[in-house]
Amino acid sequence: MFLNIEVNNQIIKADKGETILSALNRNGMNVPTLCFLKELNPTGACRMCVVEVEGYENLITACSQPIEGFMKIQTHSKRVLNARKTNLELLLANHPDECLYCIRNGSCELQNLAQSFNINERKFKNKKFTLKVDKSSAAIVKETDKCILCGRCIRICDEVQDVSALCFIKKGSSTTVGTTLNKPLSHSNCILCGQCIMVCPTAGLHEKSHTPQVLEAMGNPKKHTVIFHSSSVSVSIAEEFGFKAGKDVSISLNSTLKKLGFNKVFEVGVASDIYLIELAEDIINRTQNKGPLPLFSSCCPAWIQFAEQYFPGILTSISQIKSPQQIMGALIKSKYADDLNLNNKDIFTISVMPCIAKKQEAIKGNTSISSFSDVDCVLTTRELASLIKIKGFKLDDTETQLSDAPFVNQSSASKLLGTSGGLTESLIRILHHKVTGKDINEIKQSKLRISKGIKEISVMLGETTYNFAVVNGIGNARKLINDIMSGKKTYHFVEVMACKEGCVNGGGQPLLSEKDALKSRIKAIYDSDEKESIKFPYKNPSISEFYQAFTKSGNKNILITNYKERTVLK
Amino acid sequence: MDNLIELILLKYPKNATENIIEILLQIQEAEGFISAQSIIMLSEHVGVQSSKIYSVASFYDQFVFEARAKFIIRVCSGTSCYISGSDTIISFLEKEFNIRIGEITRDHVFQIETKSCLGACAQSPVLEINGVFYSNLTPQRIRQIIHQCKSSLQ
Amino acid sequence: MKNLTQNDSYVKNILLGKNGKNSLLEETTSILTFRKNSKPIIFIGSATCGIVAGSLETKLTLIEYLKERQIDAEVVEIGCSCPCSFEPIVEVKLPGKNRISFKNITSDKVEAVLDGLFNNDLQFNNVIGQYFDELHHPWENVINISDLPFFSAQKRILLKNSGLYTPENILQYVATGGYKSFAKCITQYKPQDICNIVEESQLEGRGGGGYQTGRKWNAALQIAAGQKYLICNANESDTGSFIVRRLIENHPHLLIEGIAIASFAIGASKAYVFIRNDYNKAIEVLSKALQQAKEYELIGSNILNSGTNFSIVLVQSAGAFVCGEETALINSIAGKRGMPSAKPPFPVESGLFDFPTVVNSAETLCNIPSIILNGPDWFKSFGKLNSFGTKLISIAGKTKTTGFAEIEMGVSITEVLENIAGFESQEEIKALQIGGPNGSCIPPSLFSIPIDYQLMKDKEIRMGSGGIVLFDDTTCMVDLAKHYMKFIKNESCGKCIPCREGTRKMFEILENITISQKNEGGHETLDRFKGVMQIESLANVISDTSLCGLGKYSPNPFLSTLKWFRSEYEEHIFDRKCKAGVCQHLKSYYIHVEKCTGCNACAVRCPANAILGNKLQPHFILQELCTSCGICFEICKFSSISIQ
Repeated sequence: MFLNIEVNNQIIKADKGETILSALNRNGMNVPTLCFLKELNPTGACRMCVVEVEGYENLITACSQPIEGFMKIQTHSKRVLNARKTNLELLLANHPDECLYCIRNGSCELQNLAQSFNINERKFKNKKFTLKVDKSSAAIVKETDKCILCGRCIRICDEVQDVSALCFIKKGSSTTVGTTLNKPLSHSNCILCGQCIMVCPTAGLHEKSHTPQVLEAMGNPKKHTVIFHSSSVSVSIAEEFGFKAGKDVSISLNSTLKKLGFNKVFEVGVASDIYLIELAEDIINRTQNKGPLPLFSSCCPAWIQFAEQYFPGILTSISQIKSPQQIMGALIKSKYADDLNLNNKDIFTISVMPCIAKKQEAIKGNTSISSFSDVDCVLTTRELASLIKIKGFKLDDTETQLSDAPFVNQSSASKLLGTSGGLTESLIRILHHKVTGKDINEIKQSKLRISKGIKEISVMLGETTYNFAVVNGIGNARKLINDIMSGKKTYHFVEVMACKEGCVNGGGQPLLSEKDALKSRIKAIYDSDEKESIKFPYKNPSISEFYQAFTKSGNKNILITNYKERTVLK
Repeated sequence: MDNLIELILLKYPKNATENIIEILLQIQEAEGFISAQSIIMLSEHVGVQSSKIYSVASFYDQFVFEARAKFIIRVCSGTSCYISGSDTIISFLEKEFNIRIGEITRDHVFQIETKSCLGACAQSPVLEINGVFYSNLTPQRIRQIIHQCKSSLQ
Repeated sequence: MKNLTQNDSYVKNILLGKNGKNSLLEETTSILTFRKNSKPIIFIGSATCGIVAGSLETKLTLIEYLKERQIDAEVVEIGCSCPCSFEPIVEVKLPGKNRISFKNITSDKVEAVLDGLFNNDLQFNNVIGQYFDELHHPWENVINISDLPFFSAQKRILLKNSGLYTPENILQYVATGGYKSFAKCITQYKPQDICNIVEESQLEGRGGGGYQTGRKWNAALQIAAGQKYLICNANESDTGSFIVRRLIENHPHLLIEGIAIASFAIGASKAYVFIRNDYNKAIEVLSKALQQAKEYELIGSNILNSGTNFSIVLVQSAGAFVCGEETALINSIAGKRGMPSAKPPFPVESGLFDFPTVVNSAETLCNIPSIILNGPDWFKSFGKLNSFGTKLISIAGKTKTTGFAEIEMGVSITEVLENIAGFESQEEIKALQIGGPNGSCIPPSLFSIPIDYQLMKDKEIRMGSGGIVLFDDTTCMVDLAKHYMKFIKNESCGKCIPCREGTRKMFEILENITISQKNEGGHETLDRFKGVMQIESLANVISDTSLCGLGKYSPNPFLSTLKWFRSEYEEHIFDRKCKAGVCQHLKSYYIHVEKCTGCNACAVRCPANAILGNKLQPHFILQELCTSCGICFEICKFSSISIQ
């Protein structure tokens, strides 16, 4: 039911029962928010969105007040502005003044707010800071002093991811955000998905930067630096350079990186193609050899971490095929090193991922059976953008270059791994070929291209109907696994991605992105699948060489990893 | 120790969050503090993540997460006691034990805390040691009380 | 007595009143109410105030005394009759004589007082008074207890039996008319009738909000839901207030009856009593009373054969001031952090476990039985102005009589101070704080204001729960405001910015006013000035934007002290002086030349090396070096150091 309400002397339409904030936003009116998170219940904690409503004694938070009848609202009256500004100044008094040295300088919501309120002098005396920083985790750094206690990280970790690694500790002015018993993050049940970083308005939570190591290696003439990037990075990194979301810059990124001075620049697609082919084989093997089924995907490291902590019983059901990142590293340090006559210790592999858990995956001992690490450093999309800027370049979208040899080509299917459902869609193409010997006619699986937490599809291949489930968001994964374990659901294959919508929304992606950026990134990935000529991994000419080598040695060990149970405070 | 917690947990139905605080109070009563082990066991019993249990427990002043002294001296700092000189009593105790408020003496026998209001305003200032109230607090009387505590240990 | 307790027919006979006039019942009632006794009964006050004052030792000495002298007497623990400064109170009822009451009977006084009593040689110093009863012989020259101003100034409805009986004893409660209202409700009334009676009585919530109870109940009753809850808020955390504690310690059954009626009225089958876990005695008494009520089938299933089922759960709060706020309280009971939630939805629509929930304070609920029994018009006959009924108040701080009293609404604070607190003139009183940390600090010029929700609100005074703390010249109002702000900043839940950060800043600014830094430069002084300039506007923003009531009223102690005691603030800021001599840093120490013997002790101990002087010659203090630590003052044996 529609209602009329009056906002700043102007009549607008509102749905009965919707919040003031939602009505304002729909009508193109803005009030500042800090603790508000779309799709989660409002908590009314930050008081930034307060508005003046006639008939109410106090200011009202727009995020939590439902509209039940006619209301007369002032969103920017003197009283409101003064209240917002004072509260902001209170926050600032409790925040270190080190913006210049802060990782979020320029992408900080608190800084932006301070700017928009034209705050240019300190009103309240600053408190003393302890600068306590928790660097224990492989991928996430927690800076307690920079936390403004908006509670977004806690809510996303609990309400969306259902992990609840973070919580409020103590009360009143001694409140902090921490883990159970305030232990270091590395001891906690954090799965490193990085969604907390994505919602953190300040640098209270941020990724552990690998940029210094990369710069160090680049400056070392003895090191042969090899960088490779994933498709989810190439559809999002342009945003960091002011382009509109949804611009796919994979080939111009190659040229930019080359200019930066890396010895080789690859796209991870080759490894993804191998991953997909191996995974398809795993499914067929398990289906023929009676399980264990379903087979779970292994490309998402946050998911692996989650399974190792919460579902040790299903570890044998997770494919032992390394993730594309680790396959790529392994290929570079074995076949590629041999071909170029390089000692693999002199090769420095840098992976660029939309993800922060990949940093953990790279150093996790059990992903490699060899004595060297497959991947030496992992940069997030954000870190790569900053590296490009450090090196004095910008993303030049006019120049283009293909991935270096020998990993020149990749199928468009490999790029789909960036979205939830894309992996399964590509897998179906391979399975179809493996079972029937023919290319699939309808390459698009529209059932998998919708935005939904849990998706299902059944495909008839040969005489068998294969059942697939696709899940994104680890909270949804927990639900689905419980259903599978209780026997309510049976599948052949389950694709799990820890972040909602998949890697396009990974913890390493650009911050403060524009509205609908996610949709645009997903569209860019599907568009390239449309455009590109190689649509099937098995048709990628770049991989045949590797398969010849595997066949020759009869050994695919470098593609295999293993998992073990992790005990944490959960 | 685990058995003790198990016995406490057995008294409460599984997956009922409304008992969390009561169980925590009982655990603290039995163990003296809330241990990591008890948080894990409670979290499994009521089906709530450990971080949420810890978050709840740390919210309330009542709960502590480290072993405490044998005697916890709580000086009331409610308004009535405050204006009757509870600060003087606190600083006397701090000097007497050579510890600061909140700290524990080296021999783990005494600990000083303040309490927001013990509700015994008529006799202010008052202090409470392990549930027993004391009023008329002169330095001699406080020393006498401390002595009583010490000798009760032998 | 034993036979009676084993036999529950007494309770049912009285409550359901089927037997008409029954001499056995009457006999039992007079024994239960001590109107008839064959051997001496000695009563001892055993509420917390009594215990703190030493009633446990007194009781042991008493029993010893009786044993030694082979006196056959009954020793009965009673609650308290409320003037706490008189504790430990001992009362004696000799057969055929009026009950007589003694004050301050610490264990060392037992012998003298009892000797006197048994030998007809009363220790008048310790006598409070006697309870007149036409059945018994009076004590000569002993005042009627109800003629004492402390009692005569009160209108005791809730407290009518305070300190007379054993609080948890259900038989005594029933013998004095208890549970009659509840029986009437479930046998004669429909829930709607009860809600209407309460709404008609215009009973205002006594917890501080002043919201009409009947309206709240009616709103809850109208909502259809599978489950509804009633919560009794007994999480008293106002510093300097002990109303709920004494109320429960004295009248657990009255509260249970109130809860039972309220639950029946709104259709709740389960009620929670949320009580501070360090209120040991109150919890003990209430648990015992609950147990008895269960045994006598007044709670449980099919209560008094009416088909009504209902249970009460005692929930111990783990100590957090903010849990007095209803949504925080609800979260706390549900096993969450006690943080307030944004309203709407209001608890009446969606409260505990998302079901409709009514939260009433303990005092509000204790008002219910008499309203039901006597009707709304009777209730409205009390109260001289806008608010009806009575209000429980507690008086503490720098008062002559510390105590707990029930006064008629509309009585002025002056009357309370004169009659109950025992002040003949108000000259000694500098100010009083009413309503706990969130309440207001008011000067004597406002003492004529009546205790009335509306009138006090008009004057921007929050009555809160009714705890009154008095201050005299030895209290510094700036320091007091700092004390309250410290409490509030520690007790803020930490959820919303204005309350979490704002109260901390207010505390810091106040602290800044009361300390002086060594070598103070222009910077600190400027900070101090700036702070004070900001604090008022900051206080307004905190009130305007805080999520809950605690935040909204958190600047009250500061705003009210600033409003009425501005000169003290100015003195602290500009003159750097604290008249009350409380703010340690603002004290100046001087050595009296004529008194100083030149022993040099102070100069040796001075940590700032601010004391100079030759041996055996008068010393002097260099004010610019002095840090006002006070060590010299403490160690001077000749009282030659004075504070200004």
